[in-house]
Amino acid sequence: MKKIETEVLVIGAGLAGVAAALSAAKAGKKVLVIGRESGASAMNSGAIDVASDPLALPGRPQRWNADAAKNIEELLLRTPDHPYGLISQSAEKILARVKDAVELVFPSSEGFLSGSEKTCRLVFNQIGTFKQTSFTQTHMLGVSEIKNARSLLLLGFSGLGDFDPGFFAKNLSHWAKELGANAKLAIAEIETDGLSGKSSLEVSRWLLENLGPVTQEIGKAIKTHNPAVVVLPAVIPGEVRKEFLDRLENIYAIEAREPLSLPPSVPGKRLAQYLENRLKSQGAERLIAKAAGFEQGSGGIQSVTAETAGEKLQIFAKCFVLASGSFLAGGIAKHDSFRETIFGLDVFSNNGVPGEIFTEKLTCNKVRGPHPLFSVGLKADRDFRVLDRQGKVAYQNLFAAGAILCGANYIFDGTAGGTALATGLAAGQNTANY
Amino acid sequence: MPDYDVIVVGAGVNGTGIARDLSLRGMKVCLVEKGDFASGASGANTGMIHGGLRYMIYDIDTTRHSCLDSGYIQKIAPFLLFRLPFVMPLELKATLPFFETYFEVYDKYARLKNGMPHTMLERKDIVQLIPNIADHVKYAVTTDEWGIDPQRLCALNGLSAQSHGAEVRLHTEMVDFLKDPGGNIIGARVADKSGYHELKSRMVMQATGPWIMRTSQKAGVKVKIRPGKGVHITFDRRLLNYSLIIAMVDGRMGFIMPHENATILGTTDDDYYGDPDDLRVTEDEVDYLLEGAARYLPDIRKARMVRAWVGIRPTLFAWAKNEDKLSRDHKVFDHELSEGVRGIVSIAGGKLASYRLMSEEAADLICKKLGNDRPCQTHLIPLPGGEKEVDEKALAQKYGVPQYAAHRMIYRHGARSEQILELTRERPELKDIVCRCEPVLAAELVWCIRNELAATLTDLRNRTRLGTGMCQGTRCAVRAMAVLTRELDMSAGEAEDSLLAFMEKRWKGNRPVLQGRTLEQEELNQASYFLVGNLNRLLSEK
Repeated sequence: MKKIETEVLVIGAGLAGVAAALSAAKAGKKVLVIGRESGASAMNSGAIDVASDPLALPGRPQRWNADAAKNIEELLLRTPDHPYGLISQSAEKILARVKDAVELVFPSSEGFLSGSEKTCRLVFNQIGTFKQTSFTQTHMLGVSEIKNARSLLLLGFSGLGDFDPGFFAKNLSHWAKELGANAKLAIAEIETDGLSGKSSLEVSRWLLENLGPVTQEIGKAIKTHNPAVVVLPAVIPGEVRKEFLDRLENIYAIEAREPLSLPPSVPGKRLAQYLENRLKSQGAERLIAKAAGFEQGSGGIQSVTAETAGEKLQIFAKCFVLASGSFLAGGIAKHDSFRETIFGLDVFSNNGVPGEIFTEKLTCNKVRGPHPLFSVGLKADRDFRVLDRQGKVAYQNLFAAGAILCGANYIFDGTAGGTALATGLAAGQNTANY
Repeated sequence: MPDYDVIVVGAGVNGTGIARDLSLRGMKVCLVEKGDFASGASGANTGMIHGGLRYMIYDIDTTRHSCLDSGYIQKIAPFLLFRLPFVMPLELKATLPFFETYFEVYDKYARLKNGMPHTMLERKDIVQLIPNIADHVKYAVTTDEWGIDPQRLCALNGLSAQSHGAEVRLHTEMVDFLKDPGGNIIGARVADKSGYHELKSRMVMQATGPWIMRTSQKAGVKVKIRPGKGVHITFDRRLLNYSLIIAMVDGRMGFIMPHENATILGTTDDDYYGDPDDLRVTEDEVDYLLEGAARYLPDIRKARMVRAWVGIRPTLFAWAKNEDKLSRDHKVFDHELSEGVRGIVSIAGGKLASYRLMSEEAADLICKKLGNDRPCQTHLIPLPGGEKEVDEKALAQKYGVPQYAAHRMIYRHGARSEQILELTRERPELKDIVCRCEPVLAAELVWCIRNELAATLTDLRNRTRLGTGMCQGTRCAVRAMAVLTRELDMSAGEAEDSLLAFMEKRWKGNRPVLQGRTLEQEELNQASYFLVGNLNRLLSEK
């Protein structure tokens, strides 16, 4: 077994893990990040939610509250166990923390995100419906962009099975009208020779090779329809995206926009790639490795064993940050009972320790939830140290961040990005103080 | 003047079978169903046209009927049946002679359905067939049954009725009966999307399965059943290639069997007095099934459960019998004879395997009452698609689709597959595989919408197995919804509604088995449609 030493070991390379790694690195620590090649962040839609309206009335988007501070206050009132509450009880302070984390992971100089932590906006997805969110990758299609646009041109790609322009247009037109936007919508299809029934990721790879001719096709369509806004499915590969969209906008004096994506998601891939680059540029080390076990010492956790392709590692560190996510990312698993997959830590739900609780009790009869099942996770103190079921610190040098924490329900409360970033930042800073 | 000769209420296997039988005899039929084809017990059974092996001791008639009719069903829908060799472990060496004799008797009936005769196996043979079988299984006997997709069976019967002149009204609920002053039945009041309608008929046939006590109450007639709740679990992939007959912890008989690309474990049998419209599988029932199955296949606890599903058997009433000892025989109720109420006939009990025979019996009675003396033809005329055999390789080549996709399509549609693929000549994009788990081509969806009365995403799932695989619709639901929306020119609101209704239905099945990968998948599914798609916030609750 190969032995490695570092000061801070971060497990998980999603938003929370990267925020933790960058904040520890910023404080001068030697940081190593391990985790799968792509976790749940690679399925990200292109949006980063901070605080959607927890009281959002179904079917009445006109009345959803856009003020994030107000939304957090309501959220903490209803779910006092939400990890935001570990940061502070003041919505302003929480949002300030989110802002710091966004600036750390997505500095405006990088031009990767746009938006604000203070106000929610409505952004369309590839179905043609929309959601409230705070930040998106740049050039995503918001309701505000189509409100004043004189006309929209929707581009489909033949052979792209994941995006149906007709269906998208129908939903978009319906909701745009509901929201008081009356832009005219035209549809054009870009020929992709020989592709059929492909996923977004497949078409994205194809585009990388065929960007020249596709750009010409798009140019022709724009000239024919003369729109103010062009909407493209989210398939432009991260490597060329900025340059490509800038060129379109400059040459044709249009705005180019993409809807958010459902998995398999090109924006997700772009985010994962961005986070990798960010780690590299800020001096954090990164290994694609799966944590499999640990050794305990007198001061808490001494080392974590991990598996890479063909090699076993024993990683010694002073401090550990667990940001391995929820079920989908593999941080928590349920087989008969719930368990944390690396350290065997106690897992909590809002109702207590769910080891013996049937999922039936953690789910509602109707799917539209929210199901407490997806709030299951680790409990932490205000320093983001993991707690055991007696409420004591499990290991002095083990911190947790992101979706692995209990209390949040990102599918329904719209706080996933903010929680991951802010708790990651805090956990990373605490390792520096440790 | 009545609008119809007969209104058949309920499009399960009996309702569709009777509607078909009557239509083939030239009767004017209206088939009314509040959901889709096979949305009750007919769609929630093991999917076996079995010979009623276990009924042989106390219910030999059911065994004979089942075997005989299984042979007929093979003739009218050869593409829809698949041979299912069964392995039945025997615990004690001392019981071998008994089973030898038992199966010798059964072989005689099995011949009626082209079943192979039984064989006796020792451990070394058994592990060849089922390598992961538990150590304690030392002896076994094999027998031979037939499997079927019950959803398709009902749909094809209903569609055959339609092609012979019946009016098929799905998503139309029978809310009340029309009566003359004497209390005799002269039609039905039904409700669909467009409102209430009064349909007059000379006769109403109740084939409402577990709902029959409710509908009978409205009619003022008496039908008593012992509703029995039956739960199945579907596992991802084939855990075995032979069906295994198992004993549950309480000694009841259960099955672990391969079905399409999955494995089915079933079933429970418990008296059920709840609401047949609000069925739930409990984790207790899931554990009961796993407990029984793990005794024979210990690995099964590590396998991936995809969903659990439930139906209510409309078993005939009997007092002081345990659920699994109840007769699976059926009864056609002539309410004129028993209660003096004219214009209504009911059917209850029975099993999938003998649906055709039961339908014939019910149709005979109706025809007698209405003065029609034409004979039953349902065992002679093929179901849609059963007209001729199809060469799957040639078909796949002719239309340039993967052979595995053609194979699955032929299983569902038989000879109609060619017509389905013909759609791709004009629109090559219909060759897209929309559901990759199963696999389902866009062309098949279009066909089912245009020709098989599919009007919702759930209807499409019932016709094609769309979204039945391990991703449970995460990938395909929105793609299929786009096809449906275009074909039916649905509004955005209707489309989102249909998508959410589909998710609700999937959730019912996923919820009791949420663990391991299935739980991860459910997180992804809900994140896709709720977190990103935001459907739960955009649609107001009705």
